[in-house]
Amino acid sequence: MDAVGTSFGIVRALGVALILLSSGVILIVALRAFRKPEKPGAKWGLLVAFGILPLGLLLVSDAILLGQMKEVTFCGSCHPMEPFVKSFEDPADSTLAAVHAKRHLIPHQQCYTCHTDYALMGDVKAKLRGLRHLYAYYTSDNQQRPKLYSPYPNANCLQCHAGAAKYEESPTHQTISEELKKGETSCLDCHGPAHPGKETAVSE
Amino acid sequence: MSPRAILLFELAGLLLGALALFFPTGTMIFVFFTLGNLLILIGLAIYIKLVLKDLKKHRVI
Repeated sequence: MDAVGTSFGIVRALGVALILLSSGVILIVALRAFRKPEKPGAKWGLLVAFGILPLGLLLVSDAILLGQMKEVTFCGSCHPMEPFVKSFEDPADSTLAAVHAKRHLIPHQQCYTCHTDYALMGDVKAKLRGLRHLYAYYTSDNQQRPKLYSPYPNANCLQCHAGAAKYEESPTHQTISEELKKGETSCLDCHGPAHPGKETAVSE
Repeated sequence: MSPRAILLFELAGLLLGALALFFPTGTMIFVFFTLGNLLILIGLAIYIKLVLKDLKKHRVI
């Protein structure tokens, strides 16, 4: 486990401890208020126990979990994703994603970095697509290879590569620069396949 | 709905959230995270409804 994974483990452990501790506080405060509802401060106690604490914990735990969902280990926790994640560690694998991971071109959160659109709603859209994948996983044949819901956007590649000397100096890139920007030609047409197990480069 | 129902919903939601945090895999997050969030939100909704009812009763609003 790398440093990022370890720190996430600590954050998760702290999150669990915080929830359990707060649950105890909520239980004690609520039971006290139920026993003596007329006692001064009982309603304020209930405001903390039923309103502020649960809402705060909801936000904190959601933030931790949403962070956790960016990790490769999370993506690999569903069986259909295992071949994709394993390819990162296979020295013989020369697919695009594996090369990016093995060369540490993207050191952490490799799946999330490439599969999130770079726009204001990019993160939200990525989470919604993930939920749709999970829904499909549970409601259909879950051994199927996951499919993209739309063609992979070149903007996700260009976010890092555009402006880089190696990219800009390539004669091919210079020739089809506009086509790449407009998405008329996919980066994966030449640089695919992105992941193992598929001959054509149509995947994200 | 009574205040005891709020306690039950919120504690159940928090414990499911803790489980999802402890085992952060796709399955656990899909089931426990979603369900936990839903239970806490139901608890909060009932609490707000009771508070508003109480405030109206005392003619605060």
